[in-house]
Amino acid sequence: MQDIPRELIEKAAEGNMDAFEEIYRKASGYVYTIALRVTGNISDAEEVTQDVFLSVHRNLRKFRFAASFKTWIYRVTMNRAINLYRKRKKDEGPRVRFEDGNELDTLATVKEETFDKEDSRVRVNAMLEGLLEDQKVCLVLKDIEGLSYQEIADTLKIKINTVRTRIKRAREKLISRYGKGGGHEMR
Amino acid sequence: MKCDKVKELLLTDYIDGELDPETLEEVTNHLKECASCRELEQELRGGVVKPLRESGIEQPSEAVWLNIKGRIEEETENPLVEALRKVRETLTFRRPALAIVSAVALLLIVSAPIAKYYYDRNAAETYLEEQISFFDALNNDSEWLYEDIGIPDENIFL
Repeated sequence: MQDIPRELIEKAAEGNMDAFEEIYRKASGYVYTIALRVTGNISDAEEVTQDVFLSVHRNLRKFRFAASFKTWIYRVTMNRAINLYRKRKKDEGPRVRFEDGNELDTLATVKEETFDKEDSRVRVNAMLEGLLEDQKVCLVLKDIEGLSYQEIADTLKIKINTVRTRIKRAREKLISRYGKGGGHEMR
Repeated sequence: MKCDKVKELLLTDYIDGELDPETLEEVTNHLKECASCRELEQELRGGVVKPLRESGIEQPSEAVWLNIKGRIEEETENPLVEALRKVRETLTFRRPALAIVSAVALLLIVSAPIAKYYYDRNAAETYLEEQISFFDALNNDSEWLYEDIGIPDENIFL
């Protein structure tokens, strides 16, 4: 996500709707994509995006520029997306887990095909679904949003080495599933 | 640099471009010589990192912006809507189990003094009734007064 200029934030905070729309146009794709990767479905991602921007609009006047606006938006998004994801999981109850094989079969089939956008989404969602929540969050911010380790640490308010460890474990898990012959010996 | 260390760096700082130039050179040199680490690098790039990075940024449908805009206009035009939303948000329990426990605790705290009041009142009424009956019996010199006490009649007034 590009940095949002301070003047634009101040104009939006004064009630200028065009300025707020400009902020939305610059940031909504990033917010939506995080939500989509964390929750795993479009309607939840849209709900999160809507909630995040309503919250941003309500709190623009309170924003003191002590932290980066971008980091703040990422943090709000991640919190909302995780909360909704947990709620959905709780509502749905126990489901067939990724490891149980059904989704693996789907993936194996998909792996051989040329992916269009929807295939790519299915594959990415399935890959992320098999990870622990904290690993998934770090990997989304790193590989999909392109944040640095330091930016991820600032967004999640965790130590940079914790970010490193979570990303390492996530990739170890993914490579053991998607690497040649079902895995690569890590150690 | 040993394979274990290289593999760890491959999974993190190397693949993410966070290595300092000196360590990067060490890892690169190791990769030229070590087939196992090279294989891991290729699998990592192709099977794990590439699909995620290539999935890219997606855009929400235009309906999302229209909903947001509509809600903001509604809140701006009618401050009561915003006030009601805040009240509702304040009253919304994010953890229903905690809400039930809190409600039961609150009920117990409120009802305890009331229960004690009625208990004390009943006890007082019972005591008064007994006293009235006793004095009434004394006045009437009732027989039951001397019955079932478990001591001989002549010892009552000793």
